[in-house]
Amino acid sequence: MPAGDNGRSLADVISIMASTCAAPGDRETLKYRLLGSPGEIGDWGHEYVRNLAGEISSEHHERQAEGKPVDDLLGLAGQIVPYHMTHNAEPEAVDLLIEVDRLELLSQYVDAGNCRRTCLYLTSCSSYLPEPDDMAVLRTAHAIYLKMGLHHDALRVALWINEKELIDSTFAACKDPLEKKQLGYLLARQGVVMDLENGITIVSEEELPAMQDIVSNARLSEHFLELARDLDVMEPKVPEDVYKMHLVDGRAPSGRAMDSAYQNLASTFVNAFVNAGFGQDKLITAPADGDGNQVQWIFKNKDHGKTSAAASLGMIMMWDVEGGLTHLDRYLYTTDHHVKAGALLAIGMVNCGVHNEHDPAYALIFEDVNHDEPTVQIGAIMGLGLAYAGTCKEEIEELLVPLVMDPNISIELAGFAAVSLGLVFTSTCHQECIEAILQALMTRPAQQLSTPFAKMLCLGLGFLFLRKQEVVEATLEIAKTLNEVISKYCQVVLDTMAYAGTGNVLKVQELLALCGEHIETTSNSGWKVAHQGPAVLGVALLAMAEDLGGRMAHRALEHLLQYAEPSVRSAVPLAIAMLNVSNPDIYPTDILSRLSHDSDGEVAKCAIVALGIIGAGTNNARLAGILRNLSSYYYKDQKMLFLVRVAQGLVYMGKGLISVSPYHTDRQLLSGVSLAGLLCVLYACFDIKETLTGKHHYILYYLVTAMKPRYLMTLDEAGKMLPVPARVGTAVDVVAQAGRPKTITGFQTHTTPVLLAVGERAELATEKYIPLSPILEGLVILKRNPEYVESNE
Amino acid sequence: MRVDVKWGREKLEGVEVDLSQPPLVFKTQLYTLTDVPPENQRVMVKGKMVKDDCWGPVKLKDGQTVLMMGSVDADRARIAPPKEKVVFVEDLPEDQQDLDNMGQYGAGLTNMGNTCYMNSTLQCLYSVPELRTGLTAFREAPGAGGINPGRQLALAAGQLFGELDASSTPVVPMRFLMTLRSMFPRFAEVGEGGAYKQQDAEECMSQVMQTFRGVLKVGEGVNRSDLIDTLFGFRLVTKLKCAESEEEIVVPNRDMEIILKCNIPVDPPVNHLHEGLEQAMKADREQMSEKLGRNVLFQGSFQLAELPPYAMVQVVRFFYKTGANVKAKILKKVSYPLNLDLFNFCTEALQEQLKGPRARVQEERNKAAGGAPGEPKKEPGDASTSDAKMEEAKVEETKREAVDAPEGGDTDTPMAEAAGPSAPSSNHAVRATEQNANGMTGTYELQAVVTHKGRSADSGHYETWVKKHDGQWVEFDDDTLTMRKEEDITKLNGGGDWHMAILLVYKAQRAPEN
Repeated sequence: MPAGDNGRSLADVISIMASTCAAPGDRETLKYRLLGSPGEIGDWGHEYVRNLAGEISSEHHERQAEGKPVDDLLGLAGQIVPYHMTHNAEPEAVDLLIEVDRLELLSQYVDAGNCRRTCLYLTSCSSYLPEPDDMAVLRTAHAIYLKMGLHHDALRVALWINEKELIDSTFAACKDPLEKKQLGYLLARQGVVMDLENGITIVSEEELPAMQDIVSNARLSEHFLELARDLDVMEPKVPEDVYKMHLVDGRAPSGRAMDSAYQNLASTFVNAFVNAGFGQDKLITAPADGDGNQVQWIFKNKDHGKTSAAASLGMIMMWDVEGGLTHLDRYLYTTDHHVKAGALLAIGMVNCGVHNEHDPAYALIFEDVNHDEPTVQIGAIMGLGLAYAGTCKEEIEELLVPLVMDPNISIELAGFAAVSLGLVFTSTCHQECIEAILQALMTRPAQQLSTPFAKMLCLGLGFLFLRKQEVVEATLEIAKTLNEVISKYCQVVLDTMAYAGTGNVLKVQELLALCGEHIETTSNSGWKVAHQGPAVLGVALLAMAEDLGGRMAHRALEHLLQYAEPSVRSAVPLAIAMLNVSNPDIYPTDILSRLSHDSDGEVAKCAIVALGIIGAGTNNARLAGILRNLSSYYYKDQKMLFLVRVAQGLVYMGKGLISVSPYHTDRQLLSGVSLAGLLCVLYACFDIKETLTGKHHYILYYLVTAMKPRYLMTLDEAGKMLPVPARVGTAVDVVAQAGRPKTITGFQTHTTPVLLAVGERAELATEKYIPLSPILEGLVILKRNPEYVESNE
Repeated sequence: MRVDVKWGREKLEGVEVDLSQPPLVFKTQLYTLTDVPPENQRVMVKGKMVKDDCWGPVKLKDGQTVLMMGSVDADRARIAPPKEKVVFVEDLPEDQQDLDNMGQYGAGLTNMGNTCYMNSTLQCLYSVPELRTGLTAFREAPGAGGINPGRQLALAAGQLFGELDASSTPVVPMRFLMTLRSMFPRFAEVGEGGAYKQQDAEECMSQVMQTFRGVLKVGEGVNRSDLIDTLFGFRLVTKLKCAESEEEIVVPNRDMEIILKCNIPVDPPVNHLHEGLEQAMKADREQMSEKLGRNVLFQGSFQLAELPPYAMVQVVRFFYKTGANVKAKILKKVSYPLNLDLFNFCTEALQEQLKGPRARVQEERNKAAGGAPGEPKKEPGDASTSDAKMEEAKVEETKREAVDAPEGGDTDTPMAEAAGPSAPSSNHAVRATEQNANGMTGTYELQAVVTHKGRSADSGHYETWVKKHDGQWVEFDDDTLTMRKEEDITKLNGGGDWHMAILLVYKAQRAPEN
């Protein structure tokens, strides 16, 4: 039949008929559409277009595989996409464009109305896409946000892509000073350091001081205390308030005549966690009476305990650089090495996440990095790592790289130095640091490489590649050539760190295969199974990206518990903790509670720490009850009891005002520095005997990088607190939903500042103000709504 | 050049600096402003510390802010170790560590190979303070020759209890075990493989008690009496009643009973300690009836004529199964009260005597109930109703009284003579009896339980559960002590494979003194 109007019309009819009658896989709708008339595609209705889109994508795949031209298909796609975009079907448009590899076409069809929905879909589907595609999708979203002038959204995507240049340019693109401040708060929360005086991110002279304050987190302590005053929790708590012994059955508190070093150490940690950031407590900052008759709390701790006790000051004074340093001054003169080490560590904690223009931490600490006493050195190294976490300060590299490389110093010091480097240069792939750590791993003898501190070298190396994905490949190849006692471990650490939070399913499968191995070990070949711990934790680390993956990981972990070797089992509680940081859901709490009574001591210990992590800063009553029962269950085992106490302290962290979740801003962003701090503690649990319940309990203080207030505080344009009504409720997944669906459910109305738990969202309950951030979390600037009319109703 | 100096939260503005002079000059200037001596000052500029002699790498600009740290009188505020070294529990030798604070509740006994039956017996005896002091004070009489095995056993027990008093770590009862085995060879029975066999704790208890009975004395001269009898001895009478002739005979028993039995026959079913005691108290026998002039069956029962301060009750769970040749256990659930009332088992005379103290306790109870805070006593509006309520409360209180025992307490209630003229038929140890009878109410409070877990007496595991002075229950599992709650104790009543009570020690509750 000659091509003519009738023929085309017939083809049109066959095409629409084929959408219902054709056998699946024939793609006849597409075939006859291409033969038919090129007119308006929507005339046959929505279902027809959807059907067509599906056939286009499969046809496209086939033709690409055979190397045939696809121009006609793209022409059709070019017709379908605008139709979808204007008919509330953004997800389908995005899907089609992804299938035909033409995502760049998307931005021209986006307008103010559908932009958020489109980008939300883009960002959400990125975690389900394979490696290069996920970034491409994010970049598209970023471009769209930038085009629409949604700087906050654009910056969030840029931060997720985690590319310094992109972040800088996005920040620079925002011209409105007030909005820029809001971006500054976001950067500060993520822990990104921005040079405001040079380069493209320069800000005007008059804005500089205020911006500097915001980006450097200088007023974090102030805001936190404001929150505390508003919630009326300023009164310091003592460890007994946390233990609540009177609620423990059958164990009436009876005056202990003797000081137990373990119990006092536990109290030290509990006191530090509970009063974190409040600047006052009743134990360590309590003034000694004039004659010094009363023994200062520090000296009620033994040896290394004194380090942790002195360091606890840092946690209590956290974020308050000026007040904290004044208080710490006198501890720096001490001749007691343990106390001095603690004081240096405390200085690091005080400055953690807060960047003072005078750099007091560096000035005070750097000399002691080369102190004669290794104890003091460790304090100094840890202090520097915490104070400059995420800042990429080059001086730190100059100071610590020689320590990592020097084969004559103990592996212990080198390990701590590597972790500090990893914290300071988190996910920067800093070349000198990488080389230094690799060299240490290559030159140290095997006997040193099988200690827990060699594992810290790997951990530090891993931090440098955090979320850098394929960039890690070259280093991974080198890791394969290392001594066999550490090689496999190092590879797994690097791989899991590089893909942390990506949800990469293929990597998860590889890791699960590692976990499933049944390796025979003898008493001196324990290293053969050492890599399995990080592999289990890696499953969680990768899968925590989104809900679905998290749930699948939970199931996989449950299987590991039943069938895997002891080395794998003991890492399972840690993986569960990683999946549920500061989020004590019933299911993980129950599993961990069960494991905390496990007959395998290692599993039980890890489970107890894990209980602390999942409850950190939540004041969760159920979890607190479980831990109280554990404290009476393990009342005879000093080490167990110590860990239970620490976990109790974690649950009441910052009196419930602080979270350690590395995810923030509506779970859209993952703070690398926070994650690194958290991982330090979780990795330490692989060798819990040598670390937390041994001499290196101060590793727990690495958590400080992850500790952030979990609040919504609204500020006026001048940066003062502005109480407004806000609704807080459980977040609802609104991805790919048409229109403007409700984003929260079961909400309550409060007046800001309010606390937000994991999985909660807030929205303003007043039209009077417009928030400058679409996500109400952390510090949010409000500006007056010009169209607001006061009503008398 | 002028700079601003930040010192803690203070800010000193416009401090003059002369870069041509050494920084010490600048620091001295700060000294005059802040009173912080230069040696205590730490001055920082952009991550660099300002030294005393030269400015070095420090670059200062006009109007810059400089950070200073330091306190006015650093010497006093400095951190100094305490004058006296703090001693930690961990530093002490192991036997002095009392990590779990259980030392106050006594110490455990090491199991020396199937000796938990003996350990639980010993812990049970140790829970009776009077016996404890009696034994530790016991010394070999001079010139007695030291060959009396009974005395040897008492000496060994005395020494062991002394060790238990002093220690917070498990004690090894070696001497006692050796003495016991040489005295009673059946406890030295060896099973297959050469190991000592598990034994019946009940057997051990009765043997030990019988041995001590002849040895331990209390008091001096005329008052001298047997300690075991004084503490545990029930004086019984047998009351016989003939169904045909309606004759009644009361015969006093010759010996004191130191362990009451609670039988668990199949018929009638026994579910409670009371019922079991009743069964054990039955003493039907054929006797010559004087009226009828022939032997007839007399319905008889034992009655308690005298109550000791401690009542030991044996739940007879073990019986010899001839076929299997084992001492099998009755697993049936037999509940026992935390407060035992023996009033119904007493002779009428004794009941009369107990009534006084019981009334006193009851009055005390009522008073406590009546005077309970929040009771709207003097409310004129609803006086009648509240009175009625109070009546009700009293009635209920009284009812409860019948099963429950009163708690001791301070009182100033005027009351009738406590110890009425006692009418025991015997004439020795009267004084001890009088002493015992003082304020006796016939109610007892559970103090210690020996339990068994397993299916026969010669296997399984024995433990003792003791209520300590502060009301805390403690489980003694050989060398391990565990705190327990009251609910845990009532769960030891059998009916499963968990520990079940085979021996109960009750302590008398006395009415308050006038």
